[in-house]
Amino acid sequence: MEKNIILEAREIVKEFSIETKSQSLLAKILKEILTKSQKKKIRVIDKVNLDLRKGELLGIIGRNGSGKSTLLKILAGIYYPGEGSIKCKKEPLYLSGWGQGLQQRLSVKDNIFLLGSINGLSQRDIRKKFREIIDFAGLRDFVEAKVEHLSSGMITRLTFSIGIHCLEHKKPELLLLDEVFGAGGDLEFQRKALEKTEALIKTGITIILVTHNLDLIQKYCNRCIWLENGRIKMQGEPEKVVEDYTKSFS
Amino acid sequence: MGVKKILNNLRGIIGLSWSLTKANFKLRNEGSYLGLFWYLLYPLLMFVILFTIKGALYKNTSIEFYPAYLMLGLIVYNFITGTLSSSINLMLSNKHFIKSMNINKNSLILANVLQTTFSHVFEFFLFFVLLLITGVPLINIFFYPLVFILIFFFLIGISSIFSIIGSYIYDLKNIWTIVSGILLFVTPVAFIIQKNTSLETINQFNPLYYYITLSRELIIYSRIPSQEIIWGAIICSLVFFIIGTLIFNKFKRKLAEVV
Repeated sequence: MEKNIILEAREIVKEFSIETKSQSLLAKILKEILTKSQKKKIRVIDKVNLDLRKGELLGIIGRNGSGKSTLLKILAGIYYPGEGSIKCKKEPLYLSGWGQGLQQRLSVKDNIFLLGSINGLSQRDIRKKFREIIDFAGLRDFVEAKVEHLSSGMITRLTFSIGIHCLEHKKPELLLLDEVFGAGGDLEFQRKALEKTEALIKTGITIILVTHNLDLIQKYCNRCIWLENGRIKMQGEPEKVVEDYTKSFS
Repeated sequence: MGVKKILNNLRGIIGLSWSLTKANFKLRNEGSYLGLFWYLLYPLLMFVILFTIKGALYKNTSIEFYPAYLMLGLIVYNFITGTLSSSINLMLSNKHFIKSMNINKNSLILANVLQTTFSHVFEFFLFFVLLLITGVPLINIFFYPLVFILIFFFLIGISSIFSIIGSYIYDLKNIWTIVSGILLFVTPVAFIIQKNTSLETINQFNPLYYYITLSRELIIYSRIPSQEIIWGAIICSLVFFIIGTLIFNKFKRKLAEVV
């Protein structure tokens, strides 16, 4: 692996079984005996190669179901690759979008402590950041409210605020972002979220960014990958890739 | 991996486990009118039922300090079977984390054992009250942490195995309900096992037998347990902890797709 390359993925393949789960032991045994057919599988990622240089900001775009999030989860270590290899010099931090990981029946406060811990912060660190998280999300009057009682916009603000403040504190060297830019919050919040994100980008951190926000890709990314049916359809200058991707809809 | 990194990892796992335990504790008691009383109700009811059965069926069998004998057997049994019962669905009930975040899955195992430790502490309080009432010397209670550590490592190991199997085979929940019911009557929870019987032979392969006997000998009867019991408990803890951790670490990366 070259010195300035922080992440190297080779010939990544990922398949998922699309059969109905029948995990009763009896059902499994019967199925094995009665059916000889091969398991139905769908190939979500198909021989993807990827190099990421230190300080690079790589955007990944594509239609729904093209494999963007799956690829990111493989790189993050949430899914394992069926085939291929991944070499990663730095431990990646993965953040995904709307309401992920929130416990609906717990309060806003409890969720901040829980998600903060999952993202690697100690209880003391979370206590230090707590007020900032609440204020940024604009949820000062809802600290003890259960998440199930919040509006979808509030949930977006809370998720983003927890995520971005954890990032600020942990200062990871490799960041994998999956639609985390506050879409769903009001305009004021989206502006704040963008400012925070810009500040993060300017720190020189290496980022892979999965988003449908093409303006964001063109504005910040050094390189862009267009994923279609699990394969890299095109990669290169963000302007060019975004242009061709947009044309594909017409 | 350096010692510093290992310690940092361990600190991370413990910190996250603590947060998960607190969250689960709140979720479990949410909206409950009787709250912590529920933790005491089940062992109390079981105690009354088994105490009555013993009185009716085994009038001639004398067991010294029987109320304490029964209660200690029950709370150790409950601790182990309760933890294993909740570990079966552990990965499924946390799939929203497993599928969407890079959560340390070992923390889920530790959090589950810590959560049932809460219940165990409440149940142990019942045992303490019983010792006071029945006049059993209290001083030996300080030996319990030694037994607890052995049970704790055993539970981490076997919970890891159960959580993996439970993620693949949903039937394990039903199988375990039957097995744990059988274990209540195979293990000397409420009765004494006679020497040279088939039940004694069976219990040589039953980890619960070692932990229950070890705790009773130390706490109630102020005796040093036999070598067989001491080594049996230590070996069960070590073997299950090592095998469980190895199995869990091998299969945990596939969990996001299985649950």
